[in-house]
Amino acid sequence: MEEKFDGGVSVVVSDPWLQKRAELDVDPEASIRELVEGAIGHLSLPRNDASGRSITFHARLEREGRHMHADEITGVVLRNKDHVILEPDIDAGL
Amino acid sequence: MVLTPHRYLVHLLKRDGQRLGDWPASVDWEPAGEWALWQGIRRGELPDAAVGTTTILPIWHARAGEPFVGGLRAAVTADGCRSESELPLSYFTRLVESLSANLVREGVLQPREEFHFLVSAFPAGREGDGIRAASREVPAPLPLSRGRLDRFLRRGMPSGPEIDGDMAVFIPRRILDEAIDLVRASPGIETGGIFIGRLRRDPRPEVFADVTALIPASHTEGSATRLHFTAASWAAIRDAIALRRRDEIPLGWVHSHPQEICETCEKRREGACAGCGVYFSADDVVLHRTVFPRAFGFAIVISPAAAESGFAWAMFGWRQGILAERGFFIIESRRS
Repeated sequence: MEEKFDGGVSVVVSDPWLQKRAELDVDPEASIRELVEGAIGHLSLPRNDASGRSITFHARLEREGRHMHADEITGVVLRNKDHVILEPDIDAGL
Repeated sequence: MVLTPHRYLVHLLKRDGQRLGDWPASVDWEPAGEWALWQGIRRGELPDAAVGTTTILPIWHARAGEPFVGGLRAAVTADGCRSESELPLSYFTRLVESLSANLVREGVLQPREEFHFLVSAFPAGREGDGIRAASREVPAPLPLSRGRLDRFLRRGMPSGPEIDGDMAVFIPRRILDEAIDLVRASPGIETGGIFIGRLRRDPRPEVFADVTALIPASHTEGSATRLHFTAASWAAIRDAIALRRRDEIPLGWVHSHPQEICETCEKRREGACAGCGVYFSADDVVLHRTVFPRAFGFAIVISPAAAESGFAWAMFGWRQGILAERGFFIIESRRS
Protein backbone atom coordinates (compact mmCIF):
# COMPACT_ATOMS: atom_id res chain seq x y z
CA MET A 1 0.00 0.00 0.00
CA GLU A 2 1.34 3.45 -0.91
CA GLU A 3 1.66 5.75 2.06
CA LYS A 4 0.68 8.89 0.16
CA PHE A 5 -1.55 9.08 -2.86
CA ASP A 6 -3.05 12.11 -4.54
CA GLY A 7 -6.79 11.81 -4.42
CA GLY A 8 -6.64 9.06 -1.80
CA VAL A 9 -8.72 8.74 1.30
CA SER A 10 -7.59 9.47 4.82
CA VAL A 11 -8.85 7.00 7.41
CA VAL A 12 -8.26 6.42 11.10
CA VAL A 13 -7.35 2.84 12.01
CA SER A 14 -7.39 1.57 15.59
CA ASP A 15 -7.08 -1.46 17.81
CA PRO A 16 -10.31 -3.05 19.19
CA TRP A 17 -10.33 -0.76 22.24
CA LEU A 18 -9.54 2.43 20.30
CA GLN A 19 -6.53 2.88 22.59
CA LYS A 20 -4.02 3.00 19.73
CA ARG A 21 -4.88 4.96 16.62
CA ALA A 22 -3.19 6.06 13.44
CA GLU A 23 -4.32 8.16 10.52
CA LEU A 24 -3.44 6.64 7.16
CA ASP A 25 -3.57 8.05 3.67
CA VAL A 26 -4.81 5.18 1.56
CA ASP A 27 -4.31 4.46 -2.12
CA PRO A 28 -7.90 4.27 -3.45
CA GLU A 29 -6.92 1.33 -5.65
CA ALA A 30 -5.62 -0.70 -2.71
CA SER A 31 -7.63 -3.60 -1.37
CA ILE A 32 -8.84 -3.86 2.20
CA ARG A 33 -6.32 -6.70 2.58
CA GLU A 34 -3.55 -4.22 1.75
CA LEU A 35 -5.03 -1.62 4.08
CA VAL A 36 -5.03 -4.14 6.94
CA GLU A 37 -1.44 -5.17 6.19
CA GLY A 38 -0.34 -1.54 6.34
CA ALA A 39 -2.40 -0.75 9.42
CA ILE A 40 -0.92 -3.66 11.38
CA GLY A 41 2.51 -2.13 10.86
CA HIS A 42 1.44 1.41 11.70
CA LEU A 43 -0.24 0.26 14.92
CA SER A 44 2.78 -1.93 15.73
CA LEU A 45 0.61 -5.02 16.18
CA PRO A 46 2.04 -8.54 15.99
CA ARG A 47 1.61 -10.31 12.66
CA ASN A 48 2.11 -13.87 13.89
CA ASP A 49 0.98 -16.04 16.77
CA ALA A 50 3.28 -18.04 19.04
CA SER A 51 3.54 -20.81 16.45
CA GLY A 52 4.47 -18.38 13.69
CA ARG A 53 1.09 -18.54 11.98
CA SER A 54 -0.35 -15.28 10.66
CA ILE A 55 -2.92 -13.64 12.91
CA THR A 56 -6.13 -12.86 11.02
CA PHE A 57 -7.33 -9.30 11.50
CA HIS A 58 -10.78 -8.25 10.32
CA ALA A 59 -11.39 -4.64 9.33
CA ARG A 60 -14.62 -3.27 10.76
CA LEU A 61 -15.98 -0.16 9.10
CA GLU A 62 -17.64 1.71 11.95
CA ARG A 63 -19.82 3.85 9.68
CA GLU A 64 -21.53 0.77 8.30
CA GLY A 65 -21.12 -1.50 11.32
CA ARG A 66 -19.71 -4.38 9.28
CA HIS A 67 -16.51 -6.21 8.56
CA MET A 68 -15.21 -5.40 5.12
CA HIS A 69 -14.20 -8.16 2.74
CA ALA A 70 -10.48 -8.48 2.07
CA ASP A 71 -11.01 -8.02 -1.69
CA GLU A 72 -13.07 -4.85 -1.45
CA ILE A 73 -11.39 -1.74 -2.85
CA THR A 74 -10.66 1.08 -0.44
CA GLY A 75 -11.59 3.82 -2.92
CA VAL A 76 -15.03 2.24 -3.30
CA VAL A 77 -15.96 1.49 0.30
CA LEU A 78 -14.07 4.10 2.33
CA ARG A 79 -14.75 7.78 2.77
CA ASN A 80 -12.48 10.42 4.20
CA LYS A 81 -12.24 10.28 8.01
CA ASP A 82 -13.75 6.81 8.19
CA HIS A 83 -12.83 4.79 11.26
CA VAL A 84 -11.60 1.26 10.67
CA ILE A 85 -11.16 -1.05 13.67
CA LEU A 86 -8.80 -4.00 13.40
CA GLU A 87 -10.28 -7.00 15.21
CA PRO A 88 -8.18 -10.16 15.48
CA ASP A 89 -9.22 -13.78 15.49
CA ILE A 90 -6.82 -14.99 18.15
CA ASP A 91 -6.28 -17.79 20.66
CA ALA A 92 -5.39 -17.90 24.30
CA GLY A 93 -4.19 -21.31 25.26
CA LEU A 94 -2.12 -23.63 27.32
CA MET B 1 6.45 5.46 17.59
CA VAL B 2 9.65 3.83 18.74
CA LEU B 3 13.04 4.80 17.30
CA THR B 4 16.07 2.59 17.77
CA PRO B 5 19.17 4.43 16.56
CA HIS B 6 21.33 1.42 17.45
CA ARG B 7 21.38 -2.16 16.28
CA TYR B 8 21.93 -4.76 18.96
CA LEU B 9 23.82 -8.04 18.98
CA VAL B 10 23.32 -10.85 21.47
CA HIS B 11 26.36 -12.93 22.41
CA LEU B 12 25.86 -16.30 24.10
CA LEU B 13 28.69 -17.85 26.08
CA LYS B 14 29.13 -21.08 27.97
CA ARG B 15 29.85 -20.88 31.67
CA ASP B 16 33.59 -21.26 31.01
CA GLY B 17 33.51 -18.32 28.62
CA GLN B 18 33.47 -20.37 25.41
CA ARG B 19 31.65 -18.36 22.77
CA LEU B 20 28.51 -20.00 21.41
CA GLY B 21 27.74 -17.36 18.81
CA ASP B 22 26.51 -13.86 18.05
CA TRP B 23 23.05 -12.99 16.74
CA PRO B 24 21.34 -9.77 15.65
CA ALA B 25 18.83 -8.89 18.33
CA SER B 26 15.48 -8.82 16.62
CA VAL B 27 13.19 -7.76 19.44
CA ASP B 28 9.77 -6.14 19.68
CA TRP B 29 10.48 -2.61 20.92
CA GLU B 30 6.85 -1.51 21.09
CA PRO B 31 6.25 -2.70 24.69
CA ALA B 32 9.34 -0.74 25.78
CA GLY B 33 7.96 2.37 24.11
CA GLU B 34 4.52 1.86 25.65
CA TRP B 35 6.06 1.30 29.08
CA ALA B 36 8.13 4.47 28.92
CA LEU B 37 5.13 6.48 27.71
CA TRP B 38 2.95 5.11 30.50
CA GLN B 39 5.59 5.79 33.16
CA GLY B 40 5.75 9.40 31.99
CA ILE B 41 1.95 9.68 32.22
CA ARG B 42 1.89 8.07 35.68
CA ARG B 43 4.52 10.50 36.97
CA GLY B 44 2.67 13.47 35.47
CA GLU B 45 5.63 14.27 33.20
CA LEU B 46 3.59 13.70 30.03
CA PRO B 47 0.01 14.68 29.11
CA ASP B 48 -2.59 12.00 29.86
CA ALA B 49 -3.40 11.35 26.20
CA ALA B 50 0.18 11.75 25.04
CA VAL B 51 1.29 10.34 21.70
CA GLY B 52 5.02 10.34 21.91
CA THR B 53 8.13 9.27 20.14
CA THR B 54 10.23 6.94 22.23
CA THR B 55 13.93 6.64 21.51
CA ILE B 56 15.66 3.56 22.88
CA LEU B 57 19.32 4.10 23.73
CA PRO B 58 21.90 1.79 25.26
CA ILE B 59 23.27 2.34 28.73
CA TRP B 60 26.84 1.13 28.48
CA HIS B 61 27.93 -1.71 30.73
CA ALA B 62 29.47 -0.33 33.93
CA ARG B 63 32.56 -2.57 33.79
CA ALA B 64 32.90 -3.73 30.19
CA GLY B 65 32.03 -0.32 28.72
CA GLU B 66 31.00 0.44 25.14
CA PRO B 67 29.90 -1.43 23.02
CA PHE B 68 28.55 -3.74 25.74
CA VAL B 69 25.14 -2.89 27.12
CA GLY B 70 24.16 -2.86 30.78
CA GLY B 71 20.59 -1.65 30.30
CA LEU B 72 18.45 0.57 28.12
CA ARG B 73 17.17 4.11 28.38
CA ALA B 74 13.79 4.91 26.87
CA ALA B 75 13.35 8.64 26.28
CA VAL B 76 9.86 9.84 25.36
CA THR B 77 9.10 13.22 23.87
CA ALA B 78 5.46 14.22 23.58
CA ASP B 79 3.78 17.60 23.18
CA GLY B 80 6.97 19.41 24.17
CA CYS B 81 7.39 17.30 27.32
CA ARG B 82 10.10 14.73 27.98
CA SER B 83 10.27 11.68 30.20
CA GLU B 84 12.92 9.00 30.65
CA SER B 85 12.71 5.47 32.00
CA GLU B 86 15.27 2.71 32.27
CA LEU B 87 14.82 -0.86 31.09
CA PRO B 88 16.81 -3.86 32.30
CA LEU B 89 18.98 -6.08 30.14
CA SER B 90 16.40 -8.78 30.78
CA TYR B 91 14.41 -7.11 27.98
CA PHE B 92 16.40 -9.49 25.75
CA THR B 93 15.58 -12.58 27.83
CA ARG B 94 12.84 -13.97 25.58
CA LEU B 95 15.16 -13.73 22.58
CA VAL B 96 17.98 -15.36 24.54
CA GLU B 97 15.67 -18.19 25.61
CA SER B 98 14.67 -18.77 22.01
CA LEU B 99 18.29 -18.77 20.83
CA SER B 100 19.40 -21.15 23.58
CA ALA B 101 16.50 -23.51 22.82
CA ASN B 102 17.74 -23.69 19.22
CA LEU B 103 21.26 -24.47 20.47
CA VAL B 104 19.88 -27.28 22.63
CA ARG B 105 18.02 -28.71 19.61
CA GLU B 106 21.27 -28.54 17.61
CA GLY B 107 23.16 -30.30 20.43
CA VAL B 108 25.50 -27.34 20.97
CA LEU B 109 24.10 -26.82 24.47
CA GLN B 110 22.94 -29.58 26.78
CA PRO B 111 19.48 -29.32 28.32
CA ARG B 112 19.69 -27.25 31.54
CA GLU B 113 23.36 -26.40 30.83
CA GLU B 114 24.24 -23.01 32.24
CA PHE B 115 25.22 -20.19 29.93
CA HIS B 116 25.21 -16.43 30.02
CA PHE B 117 24.70 -13.67 27.54
CA LEU B 118 26.01 -10.24 26.66
CA VAL B 119 24.45 -7.58 24.51
CA SER B 120 26.39 -5.06 22.43
CA ALA B 121 25.13 -2.05 20.51
CA PHE B 122 26.36 -0.17 17.45
CA PRO B 123 25.02 2.89 15.63
CA ALA B 124 22.50 1.72 13.08
CA GLY B 125 22.69 2.59 9.41
CA ARG B 126 19.85 4.44 7.80
CA GLU B 127 17.80 1.33 7.17
CA GLY B 128 17.65 0.52 10.86
CA ASP B 129 17.09 4.06 11.88
CA GLY B 130 13.39 3.96 12.64
CA ILE B 131 12.28 5.72 9.48
CA ARG B 132 9.08 7.70 10.00
CA ALA B 133 6.20 6.45 7.94
CA ALA B 134 3.83 8.76 6.15
CA SER B 135 1.08 8.01 8.62
CA ARG B 136 0.29 9.99 11.72
CA GLU B 137 -0.29 8.54 15.14
CA VAL B 138 -3.55 9.92 16.50
CA PRO B 139 -3.94 10.67 20.22
CA ALA B 140 -6.32 8.18 21.79
CA PRO B 141 -8.41 9.71 24.57
CA LEU B 142 -7.38 8.18 27.87
CA PRO B 143 -10.10 9.18 30.31
CA LEU B 144 -8.65 9.56 33.80
CA SER B 145 -11.12 9.95 36.63
CA ARG B 146 -10.07 11.49 39.91
CA GLY B 147 -9.32 9.14 42.76
CA ARG B 148 -7.46 8.94 46.06
CA LEU B 149 -5.05 6.04 46.04
CA ASP B 150 -4.71 6.02 49.83
CA ARG B 151 -8.47 5.50 50.23
CA PHE B 152 -8.41 2.51 47.89
CA LEU B 153 -5.30 1.10 49.60
CA ARG B 154 -7.04 1.26 52.98
CA ARG B 155 -9.79 -1.00 51.63
CA GLY B 156 -7.60 -3.26 49.49
CA MET B 157 -6.24 -6.66 50.43
CA PRO B 158 -3.02 -7.55 48.55
CA SER B 159 -3.14 -10.63 46.32
CA GLY B 160 -0.02 -12.08 44.72
CA PRO B 161 3.47 -10.57 44.74
CA GLU B 162 4.13 -7.04 46.00
CA ILE B 163 3.28 -4.55 43.30
CA ASP B 164 6.80 -3.10 43.54
CA GLY B 165 6.41 -0.07 41.31
CA ASP B 166 3.59 -1.50 39.22
CA MET B 167 0.42 0.52 38.79
CA ALA B 168 -2.01 -0.50 41.54
CA VAL B 169 -5.04 -2.47 40.30
CA PHE B 170 -8.14 -2.77 42.51
CA ILE B 171 -10.72 -5.51 41.88
CA PRO B 172 -13.83 -5.86 44.06
CA ARG B 173 -14.19 -9.35 45.57
CA ARG B 174 -17.60 -9.80 43.93
CA ILE B 175 -16.08 -9.26 40.46
CA LEU B 176 -13.31 -11.76 41.17
CA ASP B 177 -16.01 -14.16 42.35
CA GLU B 178 -17.87 -13.59 39.08
CA ALA B 179 -14.72 -14.57 37.19
CA ILE B 180 -14.39 -17.73 39.29
CA ASP B 181 -18.08 -18.53 38.71
CA LEU B 182 -17.44 -18.18 34.98
CA VAL B 183 -14.65 -20.76 35.22
CA ARG B 184 -16.72 -23.03 37.46
CA ALA B 185 -19.54 -22.99 34.92
CA SER B 186 -17.24 -24.36 32.18
CA PRO B 187 -15.47 -27.34 33.72
CA GLY B 188 -12.65 -28.60 31.51
CA ILE B 189 -13.21 -25.86 28.93
CA GLU B 190 -11.27 -22.62 28.69
CA THR B 191 -13.41 -19.57 29.21
CA GLY B 192 -12.80 -15.90 29.81
CA GLY B 193 -13.92 -12.32 29.94
CA ILE B 194 -12.85 -8.72 29.90
CA PHE B 195 -12.36 -6.52 32.97
CA ILE B 196 -13.58 -2.99 32.44
CA GLY B 197 -13.31 0.03 34.68
CA ARG B 198 -11.59 3.35 35.08
CA LEU B 199 -8.07 4.65 35.31
CA ARG B 200 -7.91 7.09 38.19
CA ARG B 201 -5.48 9.97 38.69
CA ASP B 202 -4.21 10.47 42.23
CA PRO B 203 -2.75 13.91 42.96
CA ARG B 204 0.65 12.56 44.17
CA PRO B 205 0.88 12.10 40.99
CA GLU B 206 0.04 8.48 40.29
CA VAL B 207 -2.49 6.53 38.24
CA PHE B 208 -4.30 3.40 39.35
CA ALA B 209 -6.93 1.05 37.90
CA ASP B 210 -10.37 0.64 39.42
CA VAL B 211 -12.15 -2.42 37.99
CA THR B 212 -15.91 -1.94 37.92
CA ALA B 213 -17.22 -4.97 36.01
CA LEU B 214 -16.41 -8.22 34.27
CA ILE B 215 -17.97 -8.81 30.87
CA PRO B 216 -17.98 -12.51 29.94
CA ALA B 217 -16.48 -12.99 26.50
CA SER B 218 -19.04 -13.96 23.86
CA HIS B 219 -18.57 -15.23 20.31
CA THR B 220 -15.68 -17.36 21.56
CA GLU B 221 -14.88 -21.02 20.99
CA GLY B 222 -13.49 -22.82 24.02
CA SER B 223 -11.81 -26.20 24.26
CA ALA B 224 -9.70 -27.90 26.90
CA THR B 225 -6.55 -26.21 25.60
CA ARG B 226 -7.70 -23.12 23.73
CA LEU B 227 -9.96 -20.11 24.00
CA HIS B 228 -10.55 -18.68 20.56
CA PHE B 229 -11.65 -15.04 20.45
CA THR B 230 -13.30 -13.99 17.20
CA ALA B 231 -13.57 -10.53 15.74
CA ALA B 232 -17.15 -10.40 17.02
CA SER B 233 -15.92 -10.95 20.61
CA TRP B 234 -14.29 -7.51 20.71
CA ALA B 235 -17.24 -5.71 19.13
CA ALA B 236 -19.58 -7.28 21.70
CA ILE B 237 -17.44 -5.95 24.54
CA ARG B 238 -17.46 -2.45 23.05
CA ASP B 239 -21.25 -2.66 22.69
CA ALA B 240 -21.61 -3.74 26.33
CA ILE B 241 -19.46 -0.85 27.51
CA ALA B 242 -21.48 1.59 25.41
CA LEU B 243 -24.75 0.25 26.83
CA ARG B 244 -23.52 0.80 30.40
CA ARG B 245 -22.73 4.48 29.65
CA ARG B 246 -20.34 4.79 32.60
CA ASP B 247 -17.19 6.01 30.84
CA GLU B 248 -15.49 2.67 31.40
CA ILE B 249 -12.68 1.27 29.30
CA PRO B 250 -11.27 -2.26 28.86
CA LEU B 251 -8.48 -2.67 31.41
CA GLY B 252 -7.62 -6.34 31.23
CA TRP B 253 -8.84 -9.85 30.62
CA VAL B 254 -9.25 -13.15 32.39
CA HIS B 255 -9.17 -16.71 31.16
CA SER B 256 -8.94 -20.17 32.63
CA HIS B 257 -6.50 -23.03 32.39
CA PRO B 258 -8.73 -26.02 33.09
CA GLN B 259 -7.96 -28.62 35.71
CA GLU B 260 -7.95 -31.64 33.43
CA ILE B 261 -4.97 -30.35 31.50
CA CYS B 262 -3.00 -29.57 34.64
CA GLU B 263 -3.57 -33.05 35.98
CA THR B 264 -1.80 -34.51 32.97
CA CYS B 265 0.87 -31.81 32.76
CA GLU B 266 4.44 -33.14 32.87
CA LYS B 267 5.64 -30.27 35.03
CA ARG B 268 3.05 -31.12 37.63
CA ARG B 269 3.90 -34.83 37.55
CA GLU B 270 7.58 -33.98 37.99
CA GLY B 271 6.79 -31.53 40.76
CA ALA B 272 8.56 -28.83 38.77
CA CYS B 273 5.62 -26.47 38.51
CA ALA B 274 5.43 -23.89 41.27
CA GLY B 275 2.05 -22.52 40.30
CA CYS B 276 0.36 -25.13 38.17
CA GLY B 277 -2.25 -23.72 35.88
CA VAL B 278 -1.66 -20.08 36.69
CA TYR B 279 1.01 -19.20 34.17
CA PHE B 280 1.05 -17.16 30.98
CA SER B 281 1.52 -19.32 27.90
CA ALA B 282 3.20 -18.21 24.68
CA ASP B 283 -0.25 -17.85 23.09
CA ASP B 284 -1.42 -15.77 26.05
CA VAL B 285 1.56 -13.45 25.58
CA VAL B 286 0.73 -12.89 21.91
CA LEU B 287 -2.95 -12.27 22.66
CA HIS B 288 -2.08 -9.77 25.38
CA ARG B 289 0.47 -8.03 23.15
CA THR B 290 -2.15 -7.83 20.37
CA VAL B 291 -5.25 -6.78 22.29
CA PHE B 292 -3.81 -5.09 25.40
CA PRO B 293 -0.67 -3.36 24.11
CA ARG B 294 -1.02 -0.32 26.36
CA ALA B 295 1.19 -0.65 29.41
CA PHE B 296 -1.71 -0.53 31.89
CA GLY B 297 -3.35 -3.70 30.48
CA PHE B 298 -3.37 -6.73 32.79
CA ALA B 299 -4.48 -10.34 32.64
CA ILE B 300 -5.67 -12.85 35.22
CA VAL B 301 -5.32 -16.59 34.79
CA ILE B 302 -7.59 -18.77 36.94
CA SER B 303 -7.02 -22.45 37.50
CA PRO B 304 -9.03 -24.90 39.53
CA ALA B 305 -5.97 -27.15 39.68
CA ALA B 306 -3.47 -25.39 41.85
CA ALA B 307 -5.44 -25.14 45.03
CA GLU B 308 -6.51 -28.17 47.02
CA SER B 309 -9.82 -26.48 47.50
CA GLY B 310 -11.21 -23.61 45.52
CA PHE B 311 -9.45 -21.81 42.72
CA ALA B 312 -6.03 -20.27 42.25
CA TRP B 313 -5.30 -17.14 40.27
CA ALA B 314 -2.44 -14.92 39.25
CA MET B 315 -2.24 -11.54 37.57
CA PHE B 316 0.20 -10.71 34.79
CA GLY B 317 1.03 -7.32 33.36
CA TRP B 318 3.60 -5.17 31.62
CA ARG B 319 6.64 -4.29 33.72
CA GLN B 320 9.49 -2.46 31.97
CA GLY B 321 8.13 -3.73 28.68
CA ILE B 322 8.14 -7.36 29.81
CA LEU B 323 5.09 -9.42 30.76
CA ALA B 324 5.50 -10.60 34.34
CA GLU B 325 3.43 -11.89 37.22
CA ARG B 326 2.34 -8.99 39.40
CA GLY B 327 0.18 -8.28 42.41
CA PHE B 328 -3.13 -6.50 42.77
CA PHE B 329 -5.63 -5.54 45.47
CA ILE B 330 -8.96 -7.15 46.25
CA ILE B 331 -11.61 -4.76 47.56
CA GLU B 332 -13.79 -6.57 50.05
CA SER B 333 -17.49 -5.85 49.89
CA ARG B 334 -18.76 -3.39 52.45
CA ARG B 335 -21.14 -4.83 55.00
CA SER B 336 -24.62 -3.41 54.76
